[in-house]
Amino acid sequence: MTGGVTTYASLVRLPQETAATALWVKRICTFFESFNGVALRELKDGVSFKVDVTESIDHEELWLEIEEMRQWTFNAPNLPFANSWNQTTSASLHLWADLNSEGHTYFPVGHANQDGLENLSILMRILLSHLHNPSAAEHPWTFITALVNALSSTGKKKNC
Amino acid sequence: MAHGNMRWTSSSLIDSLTSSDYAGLLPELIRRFRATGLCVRLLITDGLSKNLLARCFSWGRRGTLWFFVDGIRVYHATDVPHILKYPKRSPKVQSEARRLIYRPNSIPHSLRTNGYARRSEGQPDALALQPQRAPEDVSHSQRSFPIAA
Repeated sequence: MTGGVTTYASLVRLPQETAATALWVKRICTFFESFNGVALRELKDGVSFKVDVTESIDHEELWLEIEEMRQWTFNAPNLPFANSWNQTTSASLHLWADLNSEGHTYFPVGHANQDGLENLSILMRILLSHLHNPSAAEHPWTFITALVNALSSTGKKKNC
Repeated sequence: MAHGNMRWTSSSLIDSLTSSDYAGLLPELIRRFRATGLCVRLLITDGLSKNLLARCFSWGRRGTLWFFVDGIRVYHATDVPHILKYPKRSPKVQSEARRLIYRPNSIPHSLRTNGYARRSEGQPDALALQPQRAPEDVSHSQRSFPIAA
């Protein structure tokens, strides 16, 4: 998208201000991809930060740049956008330093989000869909069933 | 918690909890995980104010990177996809986006009478979308089938 917008802006088919917007979107995309890596090696699509955190990838340098967000000005007041980014990057940096000092060679940061938990909730809801008001006693067995189903599945396209 | 015949969802279960409930539940939840042999190093929450308040209730003010449960450090981070939703949820951003998004209601009233464009007298109207029934179009109720003897 960034390439298309910048091309159209250079051809004056879009306002010149859109080029700056495209670059900002690209930067946010890079930040997002740096927290979405699930592979140990560099991918072929050019998104070099969509990998696990290791010593060879400069996640730390990129994440320290995120602190510049504190200087951004948003139209909406009291937007916790920048504070949450800083919370996440700082905690991840400290955790990676701890893991590295303990001998771990990589940090699968792509798994450190809520997607897995949300998918698990959806699976449990599907398994209990025949009940209008399930009791707490039924949740452990539903959890075990969802876990066994996920482990017994060999499909690579599933993310839970 | 869902009551009666109300359809339960994960959100309905979560909405029944308050910030102070979370503040009490989080350390207990981490202890339960540790009891199974798992090592909890990182707590991920979304950026809802309820979660942030629970963090304040549990282990300190805003900006605290970690807290301790039974002497073991647990970091706290925010779910990155939810971070990206903050600007989208902002009322001011939403109002600005609504202004930019094309809406059918912005079509002048003269062009959307009864769902069709208004026909001007004496002028051919290219936007006139009057339905034309095909000659062979017979509804099912009017269709007659020969009854086998």
